[in-house]
Amino acid sequence: MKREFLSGNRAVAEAALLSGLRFYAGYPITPASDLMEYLAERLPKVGGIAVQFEDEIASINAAIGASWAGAKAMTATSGPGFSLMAEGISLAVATETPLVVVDIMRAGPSTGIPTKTTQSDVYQARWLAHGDYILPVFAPWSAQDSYDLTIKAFNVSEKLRTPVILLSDAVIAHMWETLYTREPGEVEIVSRKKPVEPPEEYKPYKAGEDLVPPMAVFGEGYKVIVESLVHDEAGYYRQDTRTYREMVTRLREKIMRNIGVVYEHEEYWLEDAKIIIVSYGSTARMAYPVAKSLLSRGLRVGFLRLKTLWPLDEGKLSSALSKADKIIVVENNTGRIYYDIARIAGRDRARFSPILTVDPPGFNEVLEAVSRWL
Amino acid sequence: MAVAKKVIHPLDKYLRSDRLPHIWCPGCGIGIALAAMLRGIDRRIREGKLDRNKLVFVTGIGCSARVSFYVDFDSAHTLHGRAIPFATGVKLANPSLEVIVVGGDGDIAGIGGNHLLHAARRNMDLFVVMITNFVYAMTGGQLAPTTPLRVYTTTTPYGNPEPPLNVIKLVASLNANYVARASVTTPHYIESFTYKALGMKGFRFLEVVSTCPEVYGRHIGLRNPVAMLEELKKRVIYKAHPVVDESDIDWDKGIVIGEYVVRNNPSYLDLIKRG
Amino acid sequence: MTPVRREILIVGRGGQGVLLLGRLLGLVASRYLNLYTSASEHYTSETRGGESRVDMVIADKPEEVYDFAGVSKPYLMIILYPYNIGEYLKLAREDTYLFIDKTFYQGEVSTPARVYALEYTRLAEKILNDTRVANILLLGHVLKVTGIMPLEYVKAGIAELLNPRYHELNFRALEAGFNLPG
Repeated sequence: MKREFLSGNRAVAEAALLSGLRFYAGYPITPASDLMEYLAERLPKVGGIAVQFEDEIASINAAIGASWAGAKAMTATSGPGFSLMAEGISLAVATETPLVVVDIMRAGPSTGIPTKTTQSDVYQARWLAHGDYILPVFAPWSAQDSYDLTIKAFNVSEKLRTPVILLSDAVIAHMWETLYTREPGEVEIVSRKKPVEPPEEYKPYKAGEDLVPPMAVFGEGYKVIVESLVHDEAGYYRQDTRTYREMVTRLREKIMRNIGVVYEHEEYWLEDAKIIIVSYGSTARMAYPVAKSLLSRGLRVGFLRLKTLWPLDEGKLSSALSKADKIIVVENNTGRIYYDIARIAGRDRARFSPILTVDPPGFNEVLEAVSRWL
Repeated sequence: MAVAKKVIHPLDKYLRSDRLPHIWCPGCGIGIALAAMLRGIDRRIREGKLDRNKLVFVTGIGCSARVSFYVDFDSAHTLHGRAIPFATGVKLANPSLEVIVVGGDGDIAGIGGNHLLHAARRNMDLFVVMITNFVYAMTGGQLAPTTPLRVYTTTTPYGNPEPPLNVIKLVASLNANYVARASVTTPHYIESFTYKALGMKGFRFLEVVSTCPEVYGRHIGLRNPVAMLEELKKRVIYKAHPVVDESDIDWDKGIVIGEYVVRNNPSYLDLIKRG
Repeated sequence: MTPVRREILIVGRGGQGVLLLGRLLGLVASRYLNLYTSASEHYTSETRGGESRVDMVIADKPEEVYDFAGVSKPYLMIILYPYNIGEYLKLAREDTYLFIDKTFYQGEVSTPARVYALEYTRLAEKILNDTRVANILLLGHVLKVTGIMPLEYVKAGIAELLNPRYHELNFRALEAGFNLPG
């Protein structure tokens, strides 16, 4: 372990390099450009490559291609560019391509305010693309968390053969903080499972118990088929309900069956809490001290920070929230995670404290928003 | 269970014959184009210049893009228009692979036009084969970027008001090392241009003028496959040294085929010193 | 050990090395002093000339930096250029160390803070023949007055952050500042 002082974006880049990133494709967009600039300098030094493409569509498709050529691949963008990546995300889901997509949220809709943050793209991260699918979404709240969750994003994408979204925001991305970075060997780095059978017997989408097919890549003699259309185990296009149902069910189940690997939240003072404040990302940075201050004033307040925004481990979340009378969700939008919490904890207990600001919310602003429910 | 594969065609070894019959309509030119390409590939493989396990076919969406179903190489059937960026990622992540993109004119030059021009500008190490049939055939006969002026399509029922795109001229104006055109009426040129392109570096582009009697033929009154092939054959003019200014596809003046650009500019991999 | 939590505000004009000062202090605190730092950078879209500002907190426990949303009780304020100086001076308290580059500000400084106002940019020109290192010269003076970080660690930080061809100049600037009367 080494102590460093890095911005959120640089922490993502360093963690990606440690995770084995070798191909980065991107298109400039505030507030994600500095992530690419940093990797453009660092990647060639470790035998990797960073390419600026003509747009975000090319970027994500190139990253998917690189993953199929055996490289760990990543792209990063912000709202408008992320919108352009929608179809690519869907291709990565259908072809079970390990891929990390970093979305640094800014204010929207449309081009919004490029340099400022909100948390308005939570649903975009979950449901950007067409089709019936789920994918993991992680939301860091510090430079350290950006580093740790990036490693997790790569590991989960490789283990489960799925695109993973790292949902950071403009505040976290450009906040410079002390963090511990790891040396190779100090943290588990997962790489995709390779086939053990000979090429003649290999079926690219045939999964075993864990529902994740071993992945042969181009150039290994396996005559791999990457198929965007609905396909069977061999990768052959099929138009029947049975194949469709099997494929869509397995794509979902391979993630849900590993929910313990994917889902994570942090709990503070929950044991005796009658009120639990739930938050995530940059907004959690101020919800946390507000909860702490209410606690020190004698209120039975707890704090729960979501690290995984999707899929939620509803059982784990529900039991963590079970003893509280009130659950107050604080987020910088007009209601996203609140609706999940209301569904999981019950509408009678869930309360919503929206913070609509493009600047990091102050202590009093969050305190005020929470206090209306106390 | 090892059952010896019965060879019914010399190119059988490069095909996933269990996926046949293919989806192409009777009289479609794509099969001719694919067979000719495979002969060019076969020559390279037999010469020991190409390893079939290092060959990757990347396609987008459309009739031509379906070639990735049938070739027995590593293959990717990706998104409409995005075969070139996907292939670029493949090549850059593993430069030892030979990456071939095949697509229709709509896929490559319509929805994928921006990627085409930037890959050519970069002189990206890819071989792109665009099979031009002047129409969106898979979706039922809509306007393509190459549809000639005034021709009826299902989305231009009063005739196409737009001048067509000359893709040869576009790619030649950029930094591509190889720009050639052949026709399904001249499969030997498809084969020899493929063979030649596979011996070069950088961005290599081959347009194959094809026939689509089923859809485009219906639009222009040439539904008979043989008649359409005969009409195309009459108009194709091979030139040993064609110039870009004569590359417009003009049904009345003729369609000039041949090698428009052959050069050895530094490829993208040369420029970044990789591979 | 008594808990440490210090807020630092650095303000200046784009091009004066405001962000560099922030990154240098953060690096030294994180790496050499085993402290925790959180800093936010603010700048306008003009590359040169607009206001640049770094809000920073340095503490000995990570949870002490999580609630940081900008400087409200500054331990140290560095004003290289007097953008919105009236607003920033309102933050200064009796125990605030306030450093102002008088090259660009001749006005009155009415504040309860401990004020160190010198013409740092002019001094950099005079002593080092290079106004670009005014920020580092001022930092040298900060180290001397406050003892917030050892000089040697800051030198090591400069060696890590800057291109080797600028090391010597910046070391000299740092020392020149450190040798100013405390």
